[in-house]
Amino acid sequence: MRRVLGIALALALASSARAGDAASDQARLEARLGPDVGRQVGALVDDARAAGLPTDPLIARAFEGASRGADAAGIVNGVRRQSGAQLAARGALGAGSQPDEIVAGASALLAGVPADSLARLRLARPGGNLVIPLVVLCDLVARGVPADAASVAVVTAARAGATDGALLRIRERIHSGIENGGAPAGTAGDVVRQWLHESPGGKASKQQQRGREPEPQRKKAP
Amino acid sequence: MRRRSFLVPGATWLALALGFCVPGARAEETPFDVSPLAARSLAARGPLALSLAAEPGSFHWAFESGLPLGIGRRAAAGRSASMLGPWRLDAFVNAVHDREDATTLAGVGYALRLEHARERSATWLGVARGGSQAEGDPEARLRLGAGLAHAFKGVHTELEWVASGVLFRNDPRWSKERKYRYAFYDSAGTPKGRDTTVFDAADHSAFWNTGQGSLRWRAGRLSVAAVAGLSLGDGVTARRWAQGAVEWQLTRRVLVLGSLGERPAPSLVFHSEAHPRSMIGIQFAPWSSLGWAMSGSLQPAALAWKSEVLPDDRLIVRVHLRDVTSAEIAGDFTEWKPVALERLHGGWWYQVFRVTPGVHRVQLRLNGGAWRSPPGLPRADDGPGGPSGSLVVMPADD
Repeated sequence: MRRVLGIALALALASSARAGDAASDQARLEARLGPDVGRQVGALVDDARAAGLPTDPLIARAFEGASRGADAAGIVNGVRRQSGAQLAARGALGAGSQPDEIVAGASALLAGVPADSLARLRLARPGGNLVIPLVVLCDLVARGVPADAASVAVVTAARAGATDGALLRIRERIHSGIENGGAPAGTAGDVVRQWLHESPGGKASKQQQRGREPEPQRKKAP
Repeated sequence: MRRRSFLVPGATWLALALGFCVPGARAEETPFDVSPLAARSLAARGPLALSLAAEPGSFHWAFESGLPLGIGRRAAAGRSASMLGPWRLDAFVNAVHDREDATTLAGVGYALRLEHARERSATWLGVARGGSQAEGDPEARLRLGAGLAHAFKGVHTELEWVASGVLFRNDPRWSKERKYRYAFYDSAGTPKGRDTTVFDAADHSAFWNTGQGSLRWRAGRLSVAAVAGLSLGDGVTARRWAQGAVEWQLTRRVLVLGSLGERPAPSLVFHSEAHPRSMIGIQFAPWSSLGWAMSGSLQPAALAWKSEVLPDDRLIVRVHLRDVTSAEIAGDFTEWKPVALERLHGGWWYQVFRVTPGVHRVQLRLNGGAWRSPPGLPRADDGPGGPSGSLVVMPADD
């Protein structure tokens, strides 16, 4: 009985906190955007909250639009696009995705990365955090690397065991190559191939890149 | 040659006062500054400039202070607007050292220049007194100058005439004859008279004319100029002279300069950028305005970004910037309100923000320009304000 009471109390507290958050968000929105736009954005935020999506990026998107002089329709559309992208990102990355992964995935989708690339990235790093791979993927596309080439580059590196640090270094090398006049798609592929070659598990990585499991090491006959 | 003590001259203090007490004279960007001829203006260069240069067998320093005396008002858009239309009055003081002794002033000059500037041309009238006075030069009493400048594609031309009233002091070439009569007695005791003529060195006023033409070619931060002229007048033989000069705008405030050839003093008085002799050096103008010289080629640049997570969800951001007078950051953690960065040393700027761990979008703005993605950060999707950066904040280590 005591346990049931504890659970009920916890649920009540959580519900109360969410209601407090909602009221606070609504007040912030109306103070910054005006009552009318604030209510429209607030409704989208409430929908996202009900769907279990992060809400801070939606409010931030509304504030960004307001600070850059977007009109009411532009602000509401921007929030709606962000909300839709978050929903799609969670669908591609899996229901158990972290809020930061959903935010980074939404940014990647809005930059033009296809949803199936997010799903392949999840498969390439199952159980691992995907924030940095998604940020790198979004960066490459924003810098002009075609979405399919960027996806192949990041998924290949992630599948080969690239850590977050390695992915950020790969991003910098691709960036340098593009700045030095390299074609974005070719540069991304070249840098990842070079990284696979240089990385400690280079041979195994190359085999993984070709989609085969590495052959087990055979003992030489005496 | 008259020498003045380096420690005493009131003119130097006047110049210092002009330079240090009127930083407000640092020009706002005016229609003059965007003109191709803006580089000629003291208003753009700022109220103070110090040149240090090495010349064959000697060392050169020159101090200049100038004020744009135009009357301005603040326009509705926040830009300053001249109430004098295309007219502007510049006043400046310069001091240079004696060639043999770097601690002794060789001359202090004062000049006023009234300029009427159009989009690609300018005419000016000037009046000056004093100025650099090398060994053997006469003292300049008054100089009147007039000039006409025009900017063609990439090349600025200027024709100029300077008339100088000069004074040769105690010069034996213009001696004054004096006769002395005195009497003496000869051996017989008879008084006799005799005339003796004495020639005393005398002051002599003369009128000099200097005509000159210049061509200046400018590409980015580099400027190459050729100046040639003819000086003639009473007391001197006609003199042809020419000088080539190269300038490299290292930063907005620092100009690297080099010149080959000599220019006479009348050629220098209305030009703050002129160099008297062959030399290599730098000019430092601490309050130069955005419109100065080759600043059109000095694009503000963001070079590097460093951020460090501090306890209590604080994030210190340092950004390495070049040729920047103001910098702001806006992001979701500032609710997209611009927050000004504070200047550190060595081109670094910083600010501390309260940022929760997670993925954030951020933008940077330099000199009030367009919002851009900060340097080094991965790009996020473009929002309504243009390119943004992705800032990934990890939780602070406990």
